[in-house]
Amino acid sequence: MRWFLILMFGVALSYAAIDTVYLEIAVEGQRAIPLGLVHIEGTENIILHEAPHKTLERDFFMSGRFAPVVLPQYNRMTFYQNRVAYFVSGKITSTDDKQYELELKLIAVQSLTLVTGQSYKVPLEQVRQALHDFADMVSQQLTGYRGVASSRLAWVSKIRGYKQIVVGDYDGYNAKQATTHPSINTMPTWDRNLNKIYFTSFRNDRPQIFSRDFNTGRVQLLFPHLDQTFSPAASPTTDELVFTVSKHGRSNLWIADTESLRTRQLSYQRANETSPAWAPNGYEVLFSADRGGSPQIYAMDNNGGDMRRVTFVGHYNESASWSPLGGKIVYSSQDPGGFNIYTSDLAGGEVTQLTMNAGNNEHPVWSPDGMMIAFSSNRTGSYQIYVMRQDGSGVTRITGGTENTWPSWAPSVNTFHQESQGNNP
Amino acid sequence: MKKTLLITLTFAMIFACGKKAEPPQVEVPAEEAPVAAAPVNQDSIDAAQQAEELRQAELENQRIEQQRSLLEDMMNRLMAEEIYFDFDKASLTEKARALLAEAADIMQKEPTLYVEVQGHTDERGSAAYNMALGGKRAQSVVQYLIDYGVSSDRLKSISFGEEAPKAEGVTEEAYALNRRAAFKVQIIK
Repeated sequence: MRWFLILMFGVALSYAAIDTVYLEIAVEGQRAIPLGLVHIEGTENIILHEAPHKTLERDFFMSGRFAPVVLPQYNRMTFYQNRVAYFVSGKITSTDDKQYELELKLIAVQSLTLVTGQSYKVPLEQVRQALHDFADMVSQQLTGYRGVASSRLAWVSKIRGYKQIVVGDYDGYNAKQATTHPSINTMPTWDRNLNKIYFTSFRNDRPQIFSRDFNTGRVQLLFPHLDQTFSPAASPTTDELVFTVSKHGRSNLWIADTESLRTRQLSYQRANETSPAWAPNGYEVLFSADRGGSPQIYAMDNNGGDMRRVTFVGHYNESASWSPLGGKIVYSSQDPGGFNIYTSDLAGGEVTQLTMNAGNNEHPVWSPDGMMIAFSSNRTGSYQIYVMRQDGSGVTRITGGTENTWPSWAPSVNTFHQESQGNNP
Repeated sequence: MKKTLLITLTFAMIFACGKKAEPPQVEVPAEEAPVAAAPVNQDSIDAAQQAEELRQAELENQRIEQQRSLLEDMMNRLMAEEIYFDFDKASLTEKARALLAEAADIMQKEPTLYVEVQGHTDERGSAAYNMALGGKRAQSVVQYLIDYGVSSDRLKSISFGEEAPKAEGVTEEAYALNRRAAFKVQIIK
């Protein structure tokens, strides 16, 4: 693993006025920062699914923190006109050992000084990861918050007629099948250490929760003593799993330790409870219950106590996800025209509709930084996975093919591991 | 298993005795007919009786299998023909109840039939909530059969939620076909 900073690039120039403009924007906080992006050089010698600047542009835009201004070449006037204070540029060169060297830089427009830079030496299939990693670094440098362009998603994809769990990048690329059993495999959720995925499979002709270890490839039936289990949600802070147990038509939430596999019932309501989702602090869970006949979102602590209703607007509210930033939830609600994504605070106030007039929009989940939401929608006819910014803007379809549903966002970002044998500068 | 077989055979024998008019079957395979030590007469009677028992057991098996597939077909066919559950509802319609009464009658007459009720939903709404809803639907069918007098040991409810649609598509017709209960009828002796 050899990363190194590219030191001292360009000549220092001073344009104090531009700095001031940037600061004004930054002080406003919520507004996206204009960020220049110059096409990456050297791409004529490499075959990629899309030009590297497209990947970077999406990463910056979807982060919700930047408004990318993309130019084929550096043009100081255009950057000035768009109030761009910093821009990203770089080049790709192929090496003798069939690897690619990426040199990516963040440069101040006015002074042309290097703010930060990174060199990567990677095989072809890791070029996108290197780009994502740099986008996350730029975010760290300019906003203080590292981006999540390097994070992963799991979702359910219909492959040769069977629902299978796949795992891919947050933008849908590099998708790989995580289950292969010819049955229904669905409802994935990530282990907090990203080593495992928990999911529901019908391979024994009834719903049961399994785990799959990414390191060993081992698939394990977790709770053989329980009749029907589904809808797992792994704690962000402990080894605990909350899930639904269904018996004699009654569905209730249970909690288990995934190491000892000891289980206990969490709540004993007469209502049916399902779709658990953890609070970022690991002390509480959101879930849905049909106490009044149709589902509404509730919250309780991780011992089944302090139960309270969260949603009050709408007849059918389901699949809630608790923002990693704390005070907000996102959920799916039935409107006359279909299902839509809404956010609200934890008292059911501040209800904001994020999707409309676009088919059914279901199963929303937050990105680990709370800046994006992934969900599934059949707006184009078939169900596909979409990612949008947390305010509902920038809706981007990330899957194609037969049918893709039930996104689950990995709760953290794995550090970019580079198997490099490259030379030091 | 042995006990059940014995009961079935006894049952078959009583059944055989009842039919006086029918002569005993004497079509004994050639090599079995002459046995040196034992009295030939008694032996052929035993063999005939055995063959008859086997034949009757076979008939009985066929009859139960017929009842089994009748029960399964009837439930599945009728369940598929109409909307048995309204959206987000698990209560049974009039027609479903009438049909289930017939099904319960068959089950009470045929104690070897075991029924697994599979609850299904349409694709609208959350997959997890639909799992709960499918379970509720299956259980409302099971409960009706229990209330009618069928032993709960012979009934099981399983939810498939929205995972195994019968009809593809996003039309109200497709949704209605998918809001259903399906039945797996097994013979357990």
